[in-house]
Amino acid sequence: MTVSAKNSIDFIARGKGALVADIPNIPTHAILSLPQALTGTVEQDAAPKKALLELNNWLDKLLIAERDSVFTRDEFDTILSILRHSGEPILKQKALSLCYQTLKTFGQPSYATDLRSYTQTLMATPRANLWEISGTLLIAGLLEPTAVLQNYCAQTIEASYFDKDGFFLRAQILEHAKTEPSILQALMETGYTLLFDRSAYVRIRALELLQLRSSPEECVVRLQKGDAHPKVQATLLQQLSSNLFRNPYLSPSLKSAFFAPSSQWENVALEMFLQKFNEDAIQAMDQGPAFTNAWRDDTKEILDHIAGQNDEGLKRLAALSLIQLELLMDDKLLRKFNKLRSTLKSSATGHSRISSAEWNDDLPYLLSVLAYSSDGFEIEEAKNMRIIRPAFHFGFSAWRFFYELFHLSTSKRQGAAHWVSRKLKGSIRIPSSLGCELVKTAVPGEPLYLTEAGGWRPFLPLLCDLYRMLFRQKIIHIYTPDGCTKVGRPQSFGGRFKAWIYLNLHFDEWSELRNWTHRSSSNPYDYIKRLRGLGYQITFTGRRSEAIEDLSIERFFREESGVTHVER
Amino acid sequence: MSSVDPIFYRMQALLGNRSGASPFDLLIFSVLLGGIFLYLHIRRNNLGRLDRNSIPLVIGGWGSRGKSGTERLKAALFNSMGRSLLSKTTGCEPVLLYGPNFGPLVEIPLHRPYEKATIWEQLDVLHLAAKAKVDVFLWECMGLDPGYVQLMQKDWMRDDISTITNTYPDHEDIQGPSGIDVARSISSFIAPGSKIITAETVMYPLLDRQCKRLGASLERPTASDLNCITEEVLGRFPYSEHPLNIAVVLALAKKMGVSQDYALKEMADRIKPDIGVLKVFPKACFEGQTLEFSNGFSANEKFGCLSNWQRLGLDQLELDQHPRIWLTALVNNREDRVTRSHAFAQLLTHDIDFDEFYLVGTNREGFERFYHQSVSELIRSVNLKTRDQALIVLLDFAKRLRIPHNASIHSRRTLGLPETNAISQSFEIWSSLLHAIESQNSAPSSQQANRIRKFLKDQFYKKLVLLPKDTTPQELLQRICSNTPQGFENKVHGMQNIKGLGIKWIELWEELSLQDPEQVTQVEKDRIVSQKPNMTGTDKQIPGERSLKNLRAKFKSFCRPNSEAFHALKIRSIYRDFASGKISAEIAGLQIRTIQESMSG
Repeated sequence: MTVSAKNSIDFIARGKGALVADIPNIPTHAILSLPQALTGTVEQDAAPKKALLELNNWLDKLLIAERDSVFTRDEFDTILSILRHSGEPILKQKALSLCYQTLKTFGQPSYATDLRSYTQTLMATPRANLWEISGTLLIAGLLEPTAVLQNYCAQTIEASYFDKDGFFLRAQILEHAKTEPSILQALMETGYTLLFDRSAYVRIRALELLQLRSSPEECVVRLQKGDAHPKVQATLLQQLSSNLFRNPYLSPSLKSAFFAPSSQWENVALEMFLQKFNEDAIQAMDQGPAFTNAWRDDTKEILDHIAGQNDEGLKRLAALSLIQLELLMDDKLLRKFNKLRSTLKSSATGHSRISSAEWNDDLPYLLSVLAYSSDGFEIEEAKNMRIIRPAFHFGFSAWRFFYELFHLSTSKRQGAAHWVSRKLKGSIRIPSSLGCELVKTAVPGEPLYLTEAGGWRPFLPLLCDLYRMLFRQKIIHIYTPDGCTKVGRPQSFGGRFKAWIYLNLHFDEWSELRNWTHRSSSNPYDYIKRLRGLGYQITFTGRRSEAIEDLSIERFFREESGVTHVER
Repeated sequence: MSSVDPIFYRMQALLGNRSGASPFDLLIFSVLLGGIFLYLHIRRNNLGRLDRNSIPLVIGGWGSRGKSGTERLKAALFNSMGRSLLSKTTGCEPVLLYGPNFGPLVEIPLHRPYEKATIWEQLDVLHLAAKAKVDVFLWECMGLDPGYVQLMQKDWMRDDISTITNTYPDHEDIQGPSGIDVARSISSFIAPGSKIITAETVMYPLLDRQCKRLGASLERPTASDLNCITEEVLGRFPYSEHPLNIAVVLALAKKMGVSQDYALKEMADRIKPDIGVLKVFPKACFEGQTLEFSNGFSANEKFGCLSNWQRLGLDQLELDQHPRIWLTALVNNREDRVTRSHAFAQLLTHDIDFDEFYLVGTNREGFERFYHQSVSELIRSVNLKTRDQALIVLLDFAKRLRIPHNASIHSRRTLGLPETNAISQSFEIWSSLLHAIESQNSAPSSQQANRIRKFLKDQFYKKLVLLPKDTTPQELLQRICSNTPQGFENKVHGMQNIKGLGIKWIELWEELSLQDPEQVTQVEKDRIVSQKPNMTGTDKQIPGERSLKNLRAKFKSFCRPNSEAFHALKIRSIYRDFASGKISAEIAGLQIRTIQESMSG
């Protein structure tokens, strides 16, 4: 039903410093004034409103109370009175919800006949309230035989008198199907028509039911044909993700429905699928290996398919999904990952140490899974150990000081340190994919979200990091799910000094090159080209050797991949 | 009394005789003054604490964008639950939304003396909510300074639940300078141990860290919540609400035990939209031209404006598909928002493509200067070193400047227009430049490069239509119509600020949308003709009339402080009467609105 056991009265009662139990049991005066509330005297007389308020609180109290018996006759009469006389949808909803809960828990009490006659009258009323019909249908699920229920369902699905709100009613039926098996059964008998409803909203809600039950063949065939609505596609794919992790008994036909129409999927849908897949994968890692081997090849195929799409954002997400898939399929790697995760979680400061013996090439990639939606990590090499810490440090930077000095403005924030920039402490950096600006601000060099890239391209080193490393690290490694970017500083002291001067003078201009888009007048390679010109050695190595050459990354590191064709 | 008397006489002597004051007198005076000040503060804070404790459920909201819309959605949600509520929201105009138990929502204007907001206003509204004995108090945080926000949230309000819509970079002059600083400032809204709901994605790690530090819980709308907000759900709202705002309130509804379907339907039915919401008004025919206005005035930062532009599909209106569409941006500038002017000048040159833009409001010259600077920077940055690059630049800028990039599009676009028209002129120059480059094998000469740069610059400059400060909405409408090529459909999108002309322009469109398109033509024509538009900006009044007008204005401004105080007292008594139930919310709203109208003349 629509109103769950815990609701606003919890907050209200707690806020008043009172107990829900303090609410009067049956407000008789409220029931007496209920019909008046419907006769149009509400504006003049505050009493009916007060009555409604009291009834509302009383219903809330009953809803959240843990009952050990059915209603008394008085209580039931009050509820029936609310159903018959109240015009307030929320009161009716709560009353119906109460009836359903009690019937469900204690079977059919003696007053079920009254309730049944009420539901029958209501279902025969052509223009009843939307919420009333929805609630009544749920009660009918308990009281009526299957044939009658099927008839009610069909009647409600066909109901045209709700006009623009009809889709809410159909969605409510689906909501009820989640809790009431008889309604689900009635819906299945009508052939899952709501999966192909004219409303995308209803289709999405219908798809949510798929994780509960496998569906008939006919429905699967229709699903395979695909749905043009991107949000419906996204839901279908997200259901796939949930099923991959939680439902090893999913029917093969439904599985094939999920995988088959991959070529027709919209990028938005694929992006939403990958996001859900990544969330589910992280949860699955917590709960142990629930992911079955049977899914492995299909899933890898679908992820490879997405990684091959001509969309930069999708490629980045797919790269993360592929790492997670590998993790899920490899027990040894998964144990290592979980150990690393618990070490980082248990540390109060977020810092943790790993002995050099334990360190291997997999670890940065495992960390890149954790870094994806956190602040990121940086790793410092110390004696016989590596220190992992969150990558979120800011400190004094000469370039920023000079930049602000030469760009004075009264519109700058007062009392803020305008000379600080991002600090890099370790020689290994595992950046977050989030934590960037959505639009460019007055501070140059900050990671900027680029819509066409679906992120800030963490595989490209930030100018800030390159500036910082000049007199600190010889080499830094930047690990992302796509691969590793290795940056070496200019070798001679003179070269480093020259680079320092150049970066101080041209920081904003050069950092702008990093944010290349198709609208830019520069080339994608210009950023790395200029840095190489200063003596930096920058290379990128893809993580997957079998992966096809990814031009969305290569174009930033190789001149020939950045050539744009003239099209007219 | 006897011990007080000497002090009293000493004070009297001190006040009466400036030379007779001793350091001791000064000390007493300072202590007394400080005492009064301290007492008033303690009293006010205590009162605030009592008021807060008497309200069962307090839900606050902050964020860079969509605060007001979210507050109104929350008000609609609690209203549908039958709970009495008071919601403080600002949007374009500061407003209190009052909803009695099981009664409709009513708007009551929130009076701000001298139109200036202070944080004390929060305590006043809280007191009003406590007196009105509401179940739920909803408030939109209008503070910007993190210090003030912390005071309001952690000391005064102590929210049960808070929502943070997002942390887009905005108000960098107070919360910045960088995007991450803005997010940090906004995270100061998180109260220890509170429950936070947010739709923020890119700065989510930062909010998450802050919540963990303060022992607060952080929630995001689920994928299912987001998927369910389809076009038909959005279409049920009386304006274009952002799906993420709806998703945030849906997450809140779940916490309150309300189902998704119920919350969506009832919110859409009960919401009281703000005047500044993103809304596409019905098309209006005027002087043979078809105009469609979309209100995006409230998106006053770059990302919000860009996202509106994309949501309305204005970025998809390319010339080859829609040759008869004329795209117009209407920029309402504000003199006290210089950073914003700069950002929008850049946005107009770098991020969106349009045919024309009208500049109204205040400090238009400043905006024009920023625009010219931005154009110069852009043109300077174009790469014309090789033949290929020059061709790419010309093709790319043809798209940006909405110049037809081939003869077929040109003929479709200029169909029915006089032979000499601005579109054809631009196309001819552009074509000649392109052919010249195409026909040679070498890089463009410096002379050619200069010609290209000059052409591009001129095209950008030509787009700007600067209107006088006192332009009326009718004059603006007439100007837009006269500038729209015959037979085109003009899509006008308002942006940057709503205050001043923006509000009047929307009111005009509200009025137009209420009438039959055929009638509008005549009605509006009559109105404009009767108003004698003054598009040149020159004052045509006779000297005597002008001096009389000046005198009247001077007298008004002289009297204003006194009348403002008088009106403020009157409005305060109306609030008191409303809270004590002497008058209804409707009457209170009406009375306050009447007073405010009389104040603004």
